[in-house]
Amino acid sequence: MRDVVSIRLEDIVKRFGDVKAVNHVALTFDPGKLYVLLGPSGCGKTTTLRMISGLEELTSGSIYIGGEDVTNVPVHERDLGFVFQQYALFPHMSVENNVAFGLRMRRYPSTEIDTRVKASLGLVQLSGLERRRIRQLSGGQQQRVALARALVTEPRALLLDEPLSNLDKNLRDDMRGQIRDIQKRLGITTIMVTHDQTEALSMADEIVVMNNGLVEQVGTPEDIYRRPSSLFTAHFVGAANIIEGIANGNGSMVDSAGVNYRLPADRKSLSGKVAMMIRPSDIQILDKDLVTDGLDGTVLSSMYFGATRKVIVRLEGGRDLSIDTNERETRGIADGDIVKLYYETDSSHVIRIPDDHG
Amino acid sequence: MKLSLRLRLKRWHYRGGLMTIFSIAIFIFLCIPLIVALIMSVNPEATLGYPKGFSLKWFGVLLNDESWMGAYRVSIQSAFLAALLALVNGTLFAFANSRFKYRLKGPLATLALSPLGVPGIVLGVGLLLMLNPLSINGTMSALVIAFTVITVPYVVRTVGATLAVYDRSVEEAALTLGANEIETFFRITLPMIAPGLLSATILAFVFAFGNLQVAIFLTGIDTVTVPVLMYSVLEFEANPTIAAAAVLNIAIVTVALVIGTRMVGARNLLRF
Amino acid sequence: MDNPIADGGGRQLSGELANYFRGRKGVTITALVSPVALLLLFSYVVPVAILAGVSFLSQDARGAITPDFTLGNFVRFFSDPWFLFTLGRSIRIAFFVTLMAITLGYVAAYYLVFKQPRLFEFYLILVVAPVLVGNVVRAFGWQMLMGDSGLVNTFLWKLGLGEHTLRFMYTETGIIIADASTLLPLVILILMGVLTRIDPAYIEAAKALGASGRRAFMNVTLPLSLSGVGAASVICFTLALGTFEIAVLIGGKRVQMIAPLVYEQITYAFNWTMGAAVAMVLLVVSVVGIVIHDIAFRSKK
Repeated sequence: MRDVVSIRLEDIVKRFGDVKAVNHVALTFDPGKLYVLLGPSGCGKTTTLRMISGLEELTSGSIYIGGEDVTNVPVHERDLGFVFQQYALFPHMSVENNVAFGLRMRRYPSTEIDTRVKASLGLVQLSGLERRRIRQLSGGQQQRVALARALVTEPRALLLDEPLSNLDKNLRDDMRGQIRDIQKRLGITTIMVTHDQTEALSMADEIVVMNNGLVEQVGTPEDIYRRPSSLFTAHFVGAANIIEGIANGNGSMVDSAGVNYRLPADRKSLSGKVAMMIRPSDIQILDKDLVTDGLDGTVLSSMYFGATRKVIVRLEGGRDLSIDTNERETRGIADGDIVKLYYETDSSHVIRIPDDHG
Repeated sequence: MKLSLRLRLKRWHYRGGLMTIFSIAIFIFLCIPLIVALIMSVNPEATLGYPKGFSLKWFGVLLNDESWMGAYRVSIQSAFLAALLALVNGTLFAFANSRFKYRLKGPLATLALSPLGVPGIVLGVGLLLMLNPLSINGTMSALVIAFTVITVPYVVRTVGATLAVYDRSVEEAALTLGANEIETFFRITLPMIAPGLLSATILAFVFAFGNLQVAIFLTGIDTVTVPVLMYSVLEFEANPTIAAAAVLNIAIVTVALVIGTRMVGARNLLRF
Repeated sequence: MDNPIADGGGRQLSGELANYFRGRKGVTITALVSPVALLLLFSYVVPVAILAGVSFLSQDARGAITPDFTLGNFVRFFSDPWFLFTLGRSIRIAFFVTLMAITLGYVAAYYLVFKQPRLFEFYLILVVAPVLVGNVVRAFGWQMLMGDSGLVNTFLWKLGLGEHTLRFMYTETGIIIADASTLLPLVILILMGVLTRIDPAYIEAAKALGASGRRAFMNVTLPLSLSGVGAASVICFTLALGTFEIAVLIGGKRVQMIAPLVYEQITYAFNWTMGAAVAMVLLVVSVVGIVIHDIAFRSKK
């Protein structure tokens, strides 16, 4: 196993015609960690990944892998593993030959190629399928061949472009665990692109949220989910109730309907335009007769999901809040019920809204 | 259960019985001239007509006739060379057009397919007018050039369609695994589109082999092709040798089709 | 050994070539495209241009082409009733050939695409094989079939239905039948392509909404395939206009068409400039057909 390396992007830009797909991005990926580039389609995440791999040329900026400037090193000399969204397996080769391709290009002796291909297929639990044709494999098997092919050469880092988006849900959940497991075992620096927030939250050491060619936020999954630094991140990662209002500097804010909300402890001193984010799962629905404080509201609708129930409650000021409740706790709830809503102030999060007009 | 005849007919019609019969009639309508050639070729007499016996002697005559065999040599050589040239150059062209963007791409792609819409006679006369003053008319080169021009569109179209099936990412995968661009082309791209290449070669060869409209203006005394010879024989001194030759052509094409179908399947071979 | 890809012995040549072309996108594209571009330029664009040029020249008494610009060939073409009649006949024949080939071709293509016959691949080969065998062999077959003592008439005679009953040879009917058979495969292939692209769900939907098979066809399948039928018609018409083998071997000298006329002018009359002019007329009529189709198709969009 070779040394694990860091990857550093220095002010990279990619322009397609008039569009800046990636707009001055600077990032450092620490050795051995799994990073997820997360964002909606067209946010520049895939372009960033392709620039790291060398498949896309930079308009400006530099890329360092393990301290070496690789900006002008062609793809085939970068020594990175890449897993493509559609797997991009060689359709005219067997599983074995697909996996062995990188080793052959590196002129390994054939005995070593055999050993390594076996080990690599074992790693992704595909032993015994060496002679299969690509067409005879299921989607999940193809995915694992692609992974084995990318890992067999012991690359300096692993790049994954939406690797799970073509699998059905159950398989996807399973593969998430497998990929994470293999990554940890090999301790390989890994960058994965996805638009699926669940995938990002469940797999990443760190998440890079991207939007419009810019990095919105970098942080651990918990940071990103609990303490989003922008409205975009708050909306994009997980469901969120967003209440915009004016903070007055003494620990509370007022929304447009005149309702008062307390600010969490760490944001008490804020003043000016802010947005408060309350995750739907942080709100409890209580019987109006049991508690006195809390927000008054009327159940507008509810939707049953098995383990959970999604309830929309209209507050007195006319604002609708979405609430995810344990299915048991809200059994028997009906549209039109008068309820009290309760959440812990410190489970909410407040984002300062930059003043557009100066 | 016994159904009335009317009801049974109705059911049969509903299952597409009438259409099946009609379609098969159309397929026969397509093939009937070839069947006729087959029948005529076994005539033991020296006249072209409904055979009153069975004999393969005209095949013997054909195979021992120096002018016919010469024509087959010329046709096979020129069609083979042209197919090869069209294959190599057409593949590079189709590859560039499917994998790169460049300014003249649209116009060039249209130009490369446009010979399909130009009457063969027009191209033949044009080539004659150009090649005659250069005094390469009547040579093998003239035939090869002309056949390459008329077969390049088939190669560009077939190979282009095959390349379009495969995502560029398959080639990119090879790059990320350490193959340079040229290794990628030879180890990944070419083998991957091999069925398309085979199909394009067979089509190119067969179309060049059967061409009359262009070849008729360009053949010299030593470079008479099979269709040109057939044409002149039909115009002047028809005898069952020509039926035998027609059957030989059918046999050559059938062998090519069978090989192609075995290797890549009829749908792939004929792009369906 | 940190990066084992960088060294490697037997790959220097391809590596150096790749290094040369990488980053020189213009050079790469030029290298890939220019063989075909040059071939088309010098053996297709230039010849057709020369043909166009020669059609505006004339020949002196000894047959040598003189470099004087003249419209004489075209004036002669459009004032000579024989030439005009030949052009008109070619257009008429091409029209009926197209009508026949499209009608029959539609049925066959519909059958192959929607009825999914068990012998699909076999039928497909039956459709294509005649094209590949070439027009001369097919024209020969039709000649044998259609002659006054050909197979059809021999058969009728044997049945006691009279001698030399049907006249096909040297008639327009004969040409149309044989030519339609010649162009059918192409029409079938194009229409198959069109019909394959129609989502069967549309037809199912129409039937689910209560349309009979016939109405589903008239209201869904047919309209969806009309633009393809148009394209197939234009291609078929253009090719029928340029009919040569069938025209010569079935029509002979008595039913002259325009492509054989070009050949005659060049080969027998040694009138190269006139031949070029007739060829130009043929080319222009073909191109006009394509352009009309283009405009009609665009205006529908």
